[in-house]
Amino acid sequence: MDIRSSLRQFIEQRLLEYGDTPDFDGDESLILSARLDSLAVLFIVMHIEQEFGVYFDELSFELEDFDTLDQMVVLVENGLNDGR
Amino acid sequence: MQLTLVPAIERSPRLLTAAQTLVGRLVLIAIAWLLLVLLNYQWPLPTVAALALFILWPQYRREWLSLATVGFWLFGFQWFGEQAIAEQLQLFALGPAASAVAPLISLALAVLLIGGIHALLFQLPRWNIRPLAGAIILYAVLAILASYAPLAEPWRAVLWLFLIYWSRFFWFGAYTLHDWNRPLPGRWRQLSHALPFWSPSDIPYPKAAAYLQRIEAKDAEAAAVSQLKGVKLLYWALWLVLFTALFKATFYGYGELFGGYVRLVRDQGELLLGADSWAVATGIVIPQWLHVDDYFRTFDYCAVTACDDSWRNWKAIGARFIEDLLWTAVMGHVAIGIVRLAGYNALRNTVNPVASRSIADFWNRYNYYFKELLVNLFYFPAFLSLRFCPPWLRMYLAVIFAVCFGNFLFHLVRGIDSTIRYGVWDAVWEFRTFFLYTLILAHGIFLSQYINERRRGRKSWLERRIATPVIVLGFFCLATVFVDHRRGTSIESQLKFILSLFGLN
Repeated sequence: MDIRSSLRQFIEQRLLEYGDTPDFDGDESLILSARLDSLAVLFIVMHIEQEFGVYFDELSFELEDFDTLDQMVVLVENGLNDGR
Repeated sequence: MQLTLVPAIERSPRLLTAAQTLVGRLVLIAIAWLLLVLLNYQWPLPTVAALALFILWPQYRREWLSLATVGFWLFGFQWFGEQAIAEQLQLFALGPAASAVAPLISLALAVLLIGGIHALLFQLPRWNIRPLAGAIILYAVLAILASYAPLAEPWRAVLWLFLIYWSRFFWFGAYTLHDWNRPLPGRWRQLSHALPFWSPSDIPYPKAAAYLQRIEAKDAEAAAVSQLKGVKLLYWALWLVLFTALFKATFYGYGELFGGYVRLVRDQGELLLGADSWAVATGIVIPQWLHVDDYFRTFDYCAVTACDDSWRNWKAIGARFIEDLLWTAVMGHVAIGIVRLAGYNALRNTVNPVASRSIADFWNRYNYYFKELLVNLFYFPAFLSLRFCPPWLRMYLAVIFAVCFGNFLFHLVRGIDSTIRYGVWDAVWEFRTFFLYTLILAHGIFLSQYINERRRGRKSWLERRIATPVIVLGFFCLATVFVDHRRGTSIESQLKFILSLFGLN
């Protein structure tokens, strides 16, 4: 499964657990719009670590970088390119 | 036609269009003023004067924010702890003229120094040290020096003065230091957006300069949406103020509205509405058994007696909890209402906490921006740096770091008065019961996260609707017994109070 599909599936599951609808666009705000909270981001981070082996640097981590699916995909791609 | 208490006015195309016209903007300003007056806001006129600039000339929003904020620093000087500053300045034996300008000069010097310190702290990542960690260490070192170092009196006073100011700016600066490697607003803008004019709170509502730039309205329609949502939130706060007065009159016997001009009083079981020279019966009868004593009086009485009236104690702790919820909601709604009117579409601070799905969710809904502070500045940095731990241990340690250490540190920095009076060590010791509260809270949040994750939302109707609210609200209700910042309250008396609730003593 590619990065986008894997992340989308994981986020859809989270949204359902939060009593929300699973529909969202790639550029749609999930964090700033309060559809997902910081705990959801924590599980997304763990999912990215486990699925793609990308680890985030605690010195430069920012919660709002996970606001949209598009942003998350870029983060993972950058992480893979950096070899993190 | 459906009637709602607070209609979603920002969704009306007609209102949205109207709010973008000159007349519409003037009406918005007038409504904001009226709502702030009714809410008994401390500075309605200067605040609305500032808001008028944002609403009429939004293209200069960032400049208005700097101007309004610095203006409020100067005219609302009590935000900085006026008495503590005056006590330190007294030691310099200044003449009357110098005494009048000394607070402002000391503020200006402190702001410049904070800017300079931040510039140095921004260099720390070169040595793989987080700038915020550097700020915490520096603050602690200066507080220890001021408390215990053999300094000449004027130097000690200078140090305390600086720490008083830095304490007020600390968490705004912490957000800026946290964003060290992103495009940040200029140094002056970062400083002049700290402790903004819409709230005297140490909790950055809504975060700091960089975040404000991210959420500001990008066009006239977005600004109108934000402003209508601001009006809506102030209006909702007014309903909550009315409800608070009714709640207090029902249970405590006395509630106030509009700064005390209108009062609700329970007289011989009946609720009266009145002012100085008049009173009318509302026809609402309150049974005597609903009467609640003030929590702290009940607590103190319990500490020195057999403390066997568990019903009385339950009522007192329950009423305190609800009152605290209402107060936090009103305070946050007013601040965020003003933020939105200024054209920054911020999320609400409190969103229906009684509908929480878990202990962690309650914290998210009850005081969002304080939770965000702990999550952004403590929780995620700890979580990410513990990548080699098993997932549950990683989560546990991150929660402990944020909810215990971060929470404790926030309150210690806020309580700079105690540190000046008693010294660092005694001030920390005074917070021991609060530390116990943070430990209980951290374990409650961790268990809530852990159990929810294992169960992945599979809950029966009974669990969702009955058991979860009882557990969540009951947990926070009991935990607040340990939130008592009065000097001398012992853990023993707090445990005695909790046991008394269950008929044990």
